[in-house]
Amino acid sequence: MEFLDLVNGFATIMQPEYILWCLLGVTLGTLAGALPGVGPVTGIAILLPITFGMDPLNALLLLMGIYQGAMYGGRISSILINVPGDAPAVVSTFDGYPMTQQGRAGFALTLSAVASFVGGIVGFLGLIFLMPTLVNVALMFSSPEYFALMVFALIATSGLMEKNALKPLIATLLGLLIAVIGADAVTGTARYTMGFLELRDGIDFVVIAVGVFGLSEVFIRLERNIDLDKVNTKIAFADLFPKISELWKDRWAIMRGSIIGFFVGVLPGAGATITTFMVYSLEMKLSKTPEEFGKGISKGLSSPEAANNATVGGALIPLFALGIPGSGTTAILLGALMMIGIKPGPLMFDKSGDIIWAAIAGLLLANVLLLALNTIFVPVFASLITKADRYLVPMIAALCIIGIYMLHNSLVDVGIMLLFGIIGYFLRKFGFPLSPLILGVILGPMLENHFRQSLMMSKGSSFDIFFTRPITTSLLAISLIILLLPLIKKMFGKK
Amino acid sequence: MERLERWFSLCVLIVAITFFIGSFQYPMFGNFAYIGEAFVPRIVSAILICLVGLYVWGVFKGKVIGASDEDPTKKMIINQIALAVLLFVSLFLINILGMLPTLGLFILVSLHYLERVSWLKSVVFTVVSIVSMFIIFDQLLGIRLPQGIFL
Repeated sequence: MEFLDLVNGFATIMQPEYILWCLLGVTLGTLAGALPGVGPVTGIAILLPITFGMDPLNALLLLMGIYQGAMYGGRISSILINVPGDAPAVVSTFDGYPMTQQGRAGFALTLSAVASFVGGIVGFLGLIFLMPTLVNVALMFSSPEYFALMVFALIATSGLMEKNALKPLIATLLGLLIAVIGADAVTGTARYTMGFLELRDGIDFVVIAVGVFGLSEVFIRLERNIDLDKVNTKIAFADLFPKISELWKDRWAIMRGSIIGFFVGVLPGAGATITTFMVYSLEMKLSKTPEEFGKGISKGLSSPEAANNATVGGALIPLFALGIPGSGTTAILLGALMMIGIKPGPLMFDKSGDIIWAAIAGLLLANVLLLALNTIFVPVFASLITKADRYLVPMIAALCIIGIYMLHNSLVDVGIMLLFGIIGYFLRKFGFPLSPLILGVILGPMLENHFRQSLMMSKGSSFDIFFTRPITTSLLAISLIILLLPLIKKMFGKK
Repeated sequence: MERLERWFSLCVLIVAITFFIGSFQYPMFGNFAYIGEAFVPRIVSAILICLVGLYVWGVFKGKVIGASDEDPTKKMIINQIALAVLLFVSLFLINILGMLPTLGLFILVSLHYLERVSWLKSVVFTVVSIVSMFIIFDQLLGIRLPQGIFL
């Protein structure tokens, strides 16, 4: 059944209009990924307003293209100028840049593009084979399970495993508090609106996402000291086509990276950055010449790149099957889906199955387009990284303003976005992760609703409902363990 | 930057306390739906106050380290303040001049004065950007942008 749906999806998108939107998405995504500091989440946030009023499938193909493209593009600046385009591309600098210094930039770019392609395909296959299973499990879920799942997603994405667990947790709670602004979903009472009618409907997550991800980037960029004008990014065209035997050497490293990347991508909060570091250290351990890592060894580049792109398919599974995002990028995609009238979750495949399967088919199309774009056209992107840098500050800011205005034709939204841009700047400066904040904003209203519905289901037996259902109890127990883990680690660490 | 983070931590604490106090305007429990409008904000803000309290304590004791490796120079800070002012001025000008002319002015001024791009390049880039925006947003997407005095 799913196979047939997928085939239908392919048949749908094989029209010039859809291919064009996908191509535009992957091109913009590659550029967003390649430009240092922009990355997938900021790229999608800035370009999200453009999708308002678009046909849902066009909008989805564009956004998925940007997501996948940004994951590909991050490596270009890592390899060429030693400046990662986004966080997951940091690992690509370890061996990618030394390869450039050895005059093998063309080979490094093609190898990483092929690895990204394989990773993307593994992620795509994993998505179509695993998602239906998870959808069937999700059909058994009701409000208590969803509530517990959201608590789990919020806590897991808070990055509590990191050294400083306090800041991600504060960011999550701030997001939850921002989400309560506006009319209460059940009683209609206006909360924290301070009498402003404009706040009655709450603050749209797009306003916050564009502010904290997009506009804050503008302020951050003004602090950068990299003079890209003087960087030489010229690549000989012939170097982009190495021998197949050279690429074949890394096949197992690429496969390992892809499979690990996919499975880690499924887990909320793990994300592409953790995965790339994980597979890099794995390759180092498996290698007979670990001392070569960091000096331009191909496996140090190909495996993390494959893992990075395989996480896309993995990360989309909880989003599509459960309606729960596990990262900042998928959180914004969730918001985008809801904006175009699609409610992610197990029932989504009954109600909007045609669009979703077409969008999933679009992932494969995006991968194929990206492989071509990231080999043949890589010199163009390389040149754009250096040339476009100085024009980005005003362009990003202008796009943020016009995009947010389009949302509700409101300048109040633009003002709020500017405010969140400044708040986002300080949050970033002081080391607060932004993804938990945006996840809190998006999941906040759903969390409250499911909590209420759970209590209604309990018919007066109060909170017992959360401790008498196996899935709910297990998820809450895991969340509690994750929450207490830093404390436990600290206690044992001291001993 | 350390001093700034102290101020920032205190601001976050004030926000958390404001939300907590504000929650007392609403009922904690209700007949319908069991929990009232205050339930979630009060609990979340109470936890937040505790966590931010720890953060403030850590910042003042020098135990919490911000993410940024180096402090921005004076020139960078001036540029950032100038950009913030430009953005807010643009916000007020949109209704007077219209969206696209205001954004044009914003791009031109920020390119020349903040990014030190020559006048000629700034003007060319601004014109190309504004024409592209007009085509994409006005003509293709059919968005009605504020026209200002050009209405």
